[in-house]
Amino acid sequence: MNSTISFAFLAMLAGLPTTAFAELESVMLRDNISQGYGMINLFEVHRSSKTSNPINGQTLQAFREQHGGILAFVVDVNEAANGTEKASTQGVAVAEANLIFDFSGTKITCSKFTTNTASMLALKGQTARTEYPTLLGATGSNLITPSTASDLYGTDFSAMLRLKLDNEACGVTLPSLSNVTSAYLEVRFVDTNVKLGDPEAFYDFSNGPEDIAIISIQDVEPVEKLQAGVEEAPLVIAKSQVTKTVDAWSYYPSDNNFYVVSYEDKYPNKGDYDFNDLVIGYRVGLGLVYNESLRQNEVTSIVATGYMIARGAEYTHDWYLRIPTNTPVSGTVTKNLFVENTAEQVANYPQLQTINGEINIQVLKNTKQMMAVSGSPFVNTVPDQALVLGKKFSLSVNLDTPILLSEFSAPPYDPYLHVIPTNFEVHLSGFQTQISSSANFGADSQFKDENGFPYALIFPDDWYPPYEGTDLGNAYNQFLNYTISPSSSNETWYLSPKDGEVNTISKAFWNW
Amino acid sequence: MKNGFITFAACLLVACGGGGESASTPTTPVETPVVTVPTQPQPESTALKDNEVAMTTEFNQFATYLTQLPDKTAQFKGTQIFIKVYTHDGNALYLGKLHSNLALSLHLPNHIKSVKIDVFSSDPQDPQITEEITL
Repeated sequence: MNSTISFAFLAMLAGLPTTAFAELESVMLRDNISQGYGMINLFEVHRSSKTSNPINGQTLQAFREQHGGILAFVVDVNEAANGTEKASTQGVAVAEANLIFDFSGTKITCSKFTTNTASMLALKGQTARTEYPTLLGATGSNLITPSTASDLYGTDFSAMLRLKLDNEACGVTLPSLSNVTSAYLEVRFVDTNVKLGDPEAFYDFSNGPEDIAIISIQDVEPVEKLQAGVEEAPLVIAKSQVTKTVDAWSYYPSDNNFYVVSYEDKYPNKGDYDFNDLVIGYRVGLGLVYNESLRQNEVTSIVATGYMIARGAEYTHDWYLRIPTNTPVSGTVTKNLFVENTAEQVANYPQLQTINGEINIQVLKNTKQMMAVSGSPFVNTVPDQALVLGKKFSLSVNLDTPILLSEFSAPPYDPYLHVIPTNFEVHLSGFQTQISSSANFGADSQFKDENGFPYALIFPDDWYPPYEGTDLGNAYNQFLNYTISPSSSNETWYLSPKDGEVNTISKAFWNW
Repeated sequence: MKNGFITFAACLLVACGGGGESASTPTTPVETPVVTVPTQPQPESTALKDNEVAMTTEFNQFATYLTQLPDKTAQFKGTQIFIKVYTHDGNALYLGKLHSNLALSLHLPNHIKSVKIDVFSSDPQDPQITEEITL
C-alpha cells in the first residue's frame, strides 16, 4: 500500500473527504521570508510548484484535518553566512508566527506555534539570553519524500513550523477553513545580537530568503527523520522529534578563528624559509555529550572547516588532517569540497570515508591542480599577482561510539603534507609519519632541519605569508627573537610584518 | 648560530658603537637619562637562514590550558544550564550545557591571558552570570 492510498483509507475511516486527502501533496508557496520577515499568502503557489491545483479554503481545511487540527509548514533555511553557519548547518530563530484568516470581512488571527528545536539567544542590543524557537537546515540535504509529486522531493526543506488552531491560539473557536476568503502566514525572525558571536551569530537572519511550503502529513516523517543541520548547530535545545543534538561544542582555536599551517616542502633539505609552499587555514569543533556515570565529556562528532590560502611551490602535495586519539575509533567521515566563492561542491563531492582505527583524513589531493594561476607555479605568494581564492573544505566525522575527550590529543592536531614528487611526509615537529609507502616512513618525528628550524609551523589567522623567497625572519623581524626568548612584549610578533615582504592576504579574503 | 647572535651580544657587553636609535643624538633630558638595556641579546640578522637554534626549541604561537569550568549550577533554578566560554572579542571556545566538575581544554594564541564566561539557563527567572577567568 503506498502512502497516498493509506491516507485516503484513513480519511475514509474518519469520515473525511477522501478526495481532498488523497490529492494532498506538500506545496511550495510563492512568498518567502526575506530579511527576517514574511507575509505569506497561503493561496499563492510558487511558480516552480508541481501542483496543478490552486490552494483554497477547502485545501487548507483538508491540511488542517490531516494534521489533527493544526496547519504545518516546512522552511528551507538559507542562512549560511555568520558564526558557525555553513552548508551543513544553518539556523534562524522565530520571534512570532501568526495565521491570519479572513472570513468575508471577519479576521481571526492564530498566534501559537511550535518548532522542533530552540536555543538561548540575546536580542540585538542585549546580552541576557532567553529561549526562542529555532529553525535548522542544511544546504544539499536532498530530502526524499514518499511521493515524487511533492514539492519537497529532492529539496532542502528541513525545519517544521506548526501553527495551532485551537481556542487558546485563535482566541475563538476557529470555524472550518473551507469558507475562508484569504489566509496568510506571518513570520518574523528574531533579530539576534550578532556581535556576541555564537549562538547569536548562528541564529541570525542576515542571508535568506527562506522558502516555505505547506506540508502534507506523509512528508513530515522524512523531514523529521533527516534532522538536517541539527547535529552541528550550536546550543540546540531539543523540543520534540529531535535526537541528533550534542550537549556542547568545543572549538579550536575558536568558532571564528583558524589555525594557519604553513610548510617548507623541500624536506629533508633546507628550504628557503619563506613558509609559503602550502598555506592552509583550518579549525576543528568537537561535538560533546556528557557521560553522567563518568562525569566527563565524550566526543561524538567532529567538524573541521578550512581553506587553501596560498601555494608557493613547484611541487604538488596532498594535505591530511589527523586527529590522534589514545583509543581506536570508528565512524564515518563526510568530506565536502567547495568551488571557490560558492556553496556548490566540486565534482564527485561530497565523499564518504569509513574510519577504522584513527581519524586520518586526506583532505586535499594534488594541491597544484586545486589552486593554480595560469603561467605561474605560485598562487598568492608573489607581488603584482591578483589574489586568488582557494578551495574551501569541510569535514563531518560521526563516531560510532563516543570517545572520552581525554583520549584525544591536544590541538592543533596533526595537519601534514605528503609531497608527491619526493614522496616525503612533512609534519609538525613531534608527530610520526603515517603513510607506509612514504620515503621517510618511520624515519623521523622531529621534522627539523640542520639549523633546528621546523618544516611546518602553526600561526594565528592574522599572520600573512611571506612573499616567494622571503625568509620568515626577514618578513617578521621579531620572529626569531620571540622564538629564542619569548616574552609578553613580543608574543604578537606576527602582527608586525615588514612592508613589502608579505602578501597581505587577509582572513576576510580567504575565508569566503 | 652563524653567528650574529653571539657577536651582537658581545658588542653590547663592551658597549661598542654602532647604529640604532640609542646611539644617535639624545633627545631625552640629561637629568633623566633613558638607558635601554636589552634583557636578551639581539641577533644581527633576523633571517632564519643566518641563524641556528637548539633542536629543543619550540615554535608555539598557541598555549594549551586545562581548566575546570566553574560550577555555577547551584545558582540556577533551570534544569538546563548553559555556558559559553569566549574570548574578549566574542569568539566562542566552548558552548553548551554546563555540568558539575566539567574539565575544559583551551588552545589559544599566546597573548590571550583571560577568557570570559556567560552562564545562563532556560528558566526565565534565572540571571545570566558573566565572569572573567584568568588563565
